Amino acid sequence: MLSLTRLESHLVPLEAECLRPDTLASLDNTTISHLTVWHGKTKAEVGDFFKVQGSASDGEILLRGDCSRVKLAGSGMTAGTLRVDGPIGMHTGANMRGGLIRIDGNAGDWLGAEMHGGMIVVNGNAGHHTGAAYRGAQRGMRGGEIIITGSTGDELGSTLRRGLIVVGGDTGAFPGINLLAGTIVILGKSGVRPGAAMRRGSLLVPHHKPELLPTFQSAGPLDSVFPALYFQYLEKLAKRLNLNQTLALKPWPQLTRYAGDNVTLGKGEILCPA
Amino acid sequence: MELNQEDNRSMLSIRGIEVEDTYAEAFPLACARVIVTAENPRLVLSAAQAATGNASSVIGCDCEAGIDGLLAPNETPDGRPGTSLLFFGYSRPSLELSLVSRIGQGILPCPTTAVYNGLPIDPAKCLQVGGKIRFFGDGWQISKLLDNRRYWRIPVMDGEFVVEEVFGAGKGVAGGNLIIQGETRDITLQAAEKAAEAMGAVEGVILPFAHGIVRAGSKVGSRYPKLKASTNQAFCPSLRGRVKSELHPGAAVAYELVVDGLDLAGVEQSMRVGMDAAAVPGVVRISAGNYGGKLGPFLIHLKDLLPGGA
Repeated sequence: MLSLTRLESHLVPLEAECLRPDTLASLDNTTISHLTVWHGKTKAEVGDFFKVQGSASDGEILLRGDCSRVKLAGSGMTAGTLRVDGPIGMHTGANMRGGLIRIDGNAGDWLGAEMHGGMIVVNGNAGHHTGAAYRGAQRGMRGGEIIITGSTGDELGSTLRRGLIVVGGDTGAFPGINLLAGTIVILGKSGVRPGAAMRRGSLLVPHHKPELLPTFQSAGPLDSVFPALYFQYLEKLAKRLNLNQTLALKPWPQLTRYAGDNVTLGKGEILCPA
Repeated sequence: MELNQEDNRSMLSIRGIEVEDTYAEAFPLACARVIVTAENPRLVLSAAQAATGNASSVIGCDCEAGIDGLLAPNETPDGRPGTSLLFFGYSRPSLELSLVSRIGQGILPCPTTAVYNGLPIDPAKCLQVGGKIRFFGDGWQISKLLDNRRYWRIPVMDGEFVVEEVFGAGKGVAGGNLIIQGETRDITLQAAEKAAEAMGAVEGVILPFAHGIVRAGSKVGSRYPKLKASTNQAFCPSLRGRVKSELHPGAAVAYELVVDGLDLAGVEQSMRVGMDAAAVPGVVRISAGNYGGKLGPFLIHLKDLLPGGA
């Protein structure tokens, strides 16, 4: 495992899209130390900001220290494991296509934005626009899974096309806005206007009845094994990822299906208590 | 195990009951395992029986099918009571057609049911099942990808029917069999029932015929050119004296137990426990049907299934 320890924290963000296990796996530590990062608008090297130890040849990287201003870590990665012990900055795992990012700490905005595959696990909170589409993009996350034990900010899973996002806590406003397909599970409280303009897809809020937009219509209690499949999967996942203590899974009550958003196609659904 | 030379054959025995030194001739078929769940075990069984009906033999049915076993809620994907069904067909395309038709007509209409794949999936050899049944949703169906498996949610009148998109297909073994010959019909039927129960309890096998017992054992071909199979006259007591009989001189009745399995080991184990269960007083010979190598490549010798057998 390659260990990268942040030497000191700066207010100026560090853009470090080179920090991805699949590309570092074939490099020696000297080369890694000389890889380019951007400190604000200044070109710099990894070694200027991180103490580089161990070896990346096994496809595993550990980021330590205060990385809350480190942007784009693991972005575009296709394989391997990136572990973060502490906070991490914006755009982590953006456009990710495979592998695992495990963050034991809080993550910044745009976590897993437009990701295509792989899994991101945050044992903490995440910022705004988690799993979202970048501004102007027609599709957001297109595959993979994001599991967050804590809460998230606004516009969770905006324009989600495919994949699963699970939030153990609460969300900010507009979760699942413009949802195209895929599934978002919010185990805490949903922010205002969930599923606004969603076309298809599912938003599960099993323990909270959010205030719904008037363009959603009740279809009555949902009689389907589909929520049970998700619950069982989450139980299995929590066990596998050792999140039993932090991902609050308690039995889901009977859920009511609200179909919408009827300002668009209307084939989406919000499943929550009546 | 002992040998004697009665009736000019090499004979073995189990607890004093004669076992003919012969073999069952089994053959490969494409197979699938289907998990059916529902709100309660009664609905599960109704759906299972509907889906596996009229599927005794590929000679005259589109597939061979049966109930492998019941599943407790903690053994099913959705935590409800369930059952495991096995289906066998000549080829993957024909098996796929059978599954689509039988799940679509037998299980989908049954209240509260859901259907899942029960075999590992090889993308090159999988069967599109839910992927075809989904069209019943007429555009209202919803797909969900969970844990790399795609499910279809089809709106129906009591909620939703959930079915997995693709099913794994394996290479199963069909046509394992035992022929139990006894002094009277009652004794032989009781022995056959006991054997069928023991054989069916082996995981990964089914006895596709009604009650697990066949009284109309068949041979390949007939004097009528269009008929692929016909009565096995060598085992019909009423034809003694008219044909070369394969029956024990003391046998008044013979019953055949046919077994299909996901693999050869399961079929062998099923036959092994079946022989053991059938070896009761009044049974005069345990034999097996073969067709001189015309039917299939798996030759399951009864002597190898006896305690201490090879």
